Amino acid sequence: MRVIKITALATLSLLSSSAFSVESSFSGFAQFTVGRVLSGASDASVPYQINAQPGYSYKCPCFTANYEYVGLYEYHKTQVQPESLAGLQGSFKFTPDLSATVQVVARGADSSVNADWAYGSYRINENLTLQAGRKRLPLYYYSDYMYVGYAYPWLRPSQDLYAWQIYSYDGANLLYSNNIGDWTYTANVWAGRRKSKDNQMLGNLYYTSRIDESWNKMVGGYLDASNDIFSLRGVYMHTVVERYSVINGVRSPAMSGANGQLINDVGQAFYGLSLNVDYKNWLLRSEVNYIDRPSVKNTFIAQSYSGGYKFDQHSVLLSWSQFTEHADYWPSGVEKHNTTSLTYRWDFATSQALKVQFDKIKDQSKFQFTGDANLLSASWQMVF
Amino acid sequence: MQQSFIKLALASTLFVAGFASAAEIVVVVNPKNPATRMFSEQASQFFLGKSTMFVPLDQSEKSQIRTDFYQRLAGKDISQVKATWAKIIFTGKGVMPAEMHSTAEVKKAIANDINAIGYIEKSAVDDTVKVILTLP
Repeated sequence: MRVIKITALATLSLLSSSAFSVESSFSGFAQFTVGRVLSGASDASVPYQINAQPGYSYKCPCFTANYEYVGLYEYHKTQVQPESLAGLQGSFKFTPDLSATVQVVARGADSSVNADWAYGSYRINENLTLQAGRKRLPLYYYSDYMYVGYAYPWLRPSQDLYAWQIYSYDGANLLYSNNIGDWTYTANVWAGRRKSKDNQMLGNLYYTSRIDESWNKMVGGYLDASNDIFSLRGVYMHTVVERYSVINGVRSPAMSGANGQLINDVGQAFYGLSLNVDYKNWLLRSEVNYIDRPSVKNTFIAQSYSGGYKFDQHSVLLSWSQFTEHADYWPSGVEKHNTTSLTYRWDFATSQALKVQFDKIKDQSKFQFTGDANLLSASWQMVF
Repeated sequence: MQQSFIKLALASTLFVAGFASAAEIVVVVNPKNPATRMFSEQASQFFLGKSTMFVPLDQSEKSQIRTDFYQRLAGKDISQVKATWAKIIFTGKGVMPAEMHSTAEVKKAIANDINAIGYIEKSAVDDTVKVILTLP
């Protein structure tokens, strides 16, 4: 994480006398992760195959370690591409109050390089910052930096949460932060939209055709209060979901309504609460989310709880999480799973950690999904 | 003779080690900075990225004073401090404190910036800096 400062990287002459300099800093993160589904079970005979859009099928029981880009470990295969990645972030300060930030991430799970961050910031005053551009959607507590493994205790945040097809937005946000006593308050409100053509999670895992997904009219906000021990956060967002399946170039709505007819523009509300505690050597992480699509009587509850202990450079963490879908119109097609995990983290060098995690996922979905799987994974995670 | 030399060397090593870990660390600012006194909780806001009112300066990454400082200031080890900053940096909320390579460099940087805040050994204090917090 050494910050390389190149003062006056670009010095442009504005008019004849005044000089304009850009102060830039670069930092990065990377992880090399290897995993293997050691064993698994399903109602189907093992192994079995699940199929998504043409070109995407998986040997299961399998473990989805990342939904956003579909980083999935297949049955009895030792794989490195699902979660290995490297990211680079550049910050460019044009004036003390005006800056731009770009973060690009290259992942083994897909061949392209993605920018979830690309925005400009204007500091209105000491407490308020206005930003515009593309940012990650801060729905979950760790959404903003879920690819910077070094910064959190698990090998990966539970994928019973942190698993939506849209994870960034194009728009504007206002960030407020203030310190009162030993408490720090951060609040953020945002508005925007996101169009995702050939959405990876939906098309490469859930549907048998290409899916174009848009989250329109997004408005949301979170409030975070933290001190040295506690961190409390509440979040809300409302958006309108638009989804098309694309078959031979023909677009048609892909979400189901009351009588099985295909509909669009489904309103979706997201509520989240999290409480984290770091007290002496103990740590506690908890997060509960409720997602409601009232017009189609479809709700989701996602929750995660972890407790751990840190002794010098070593920490251990036990976690349990669950994802439950309720759907009045398609009760036989709901998704449900829970995961129990044990994580070991070793901070063996400055800015580098080795993590080993065992995950046991129990898949109780009503359709044939990824199955019960036991995943063993190890990851070398670093920041620079 | 040799044995007593070893004993003496051992004793002096222990003495130095004991002395070093007991050496007081002070948080310092520019003498023109209006701040007069600060609690650990306030100082940690600048060094752990919760406030940008002052500009924090770090000692060398491998130095003992850096390890001791964060332990005494906030009860955190170096990797916990790194993880805290990783969160701030990669959410675009700030950049890591500049790393100085010696106490002399910290003092020089503080002399040049009224908003800078740093930490040095108490024995290195002179009239170029103002002590606002002592960490025993």
